[in-house]
Amino acid sequence: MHSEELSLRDLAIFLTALGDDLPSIMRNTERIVEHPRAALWLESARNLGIVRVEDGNIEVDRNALRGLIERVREVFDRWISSLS
Amino acid sequence: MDILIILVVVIIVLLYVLYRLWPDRLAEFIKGRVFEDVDEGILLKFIEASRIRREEIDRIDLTWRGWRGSNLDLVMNVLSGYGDAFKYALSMKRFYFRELLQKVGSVKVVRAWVIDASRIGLIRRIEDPHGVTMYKIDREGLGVIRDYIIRALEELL
Repeated sequence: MHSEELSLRDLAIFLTALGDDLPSIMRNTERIVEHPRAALWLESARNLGIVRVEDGNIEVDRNALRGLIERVREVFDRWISSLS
Repeated sequence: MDILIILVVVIIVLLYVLYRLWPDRLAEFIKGRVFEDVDEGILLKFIEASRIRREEIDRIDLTWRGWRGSNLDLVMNVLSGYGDAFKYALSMKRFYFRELLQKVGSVKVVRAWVIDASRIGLIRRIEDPHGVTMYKIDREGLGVIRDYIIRALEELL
C-alpha cells in the first residue's frame, strides 16, 4: 500500500469539519443536515468510502471505517519504518 | 602655478567627499527601490520571523481523552495543511529551516508549521556537526500521532 492511497486532506476534513459533533452525527446521520459544514464533510467521507448517500439517506459503512483504521495504521507504520 | 596646485587639491578633496557620500546615497536609493521604502522595523521583523525561540514552544500531551476538547484540529492541520510541509519534511527526514522554506515558499507558513509540529512532538530540534539548527521527524512522536488518530477513529465505530 502506498501513502498516496490515504488522502490526508480527506481524513483531516472527515475528522475535524464537524468538530465534537462527529461521534453523535455518526450515530444519527439525520442530524448532519443541520450542520453548516455538512457538504464538505460528506464529500470527504464519501471519498474515504465511509458513507453512502442513497435516495437522500446517509448510510455509514462501519466496515469501511474499520478498513480506514487499518489504512491509517499501515501508512503511518510505513512512514515510521522509513525513518529508521 | 600656486592656483593650479590649490585647484588640484580642491578637486581631490571634492572627489574624496563625493567618494564618501555617493555610495551611501546609492545604497539608500537601491534599498528604497527594492523594498519600496518599507520601514526598517518591518524588515527586521521579517528577518526575525525565521528565528524560532525554543522557549516559545510548549509541548501538548497527545493522550487521547475523548472527542470533547481534543487536539485533532491541530494534529490534522499539521499533517495536511501548511502547504504540505509535513509531506516535504517526511521525504527529507531531517532538514534545515531553509530547506523546508524552499519547498513551501513562505517563511510564516514554515515557521508556524515548525512550531505546531514541535508542539505535538512530530519533529525534534537537533544540531548538525557545525552547531547549526536542524529539525528531524521524530519516530516516536509519529507513532504517538498515529495512535491518537486511530483512537479517535475507533471511538466512531
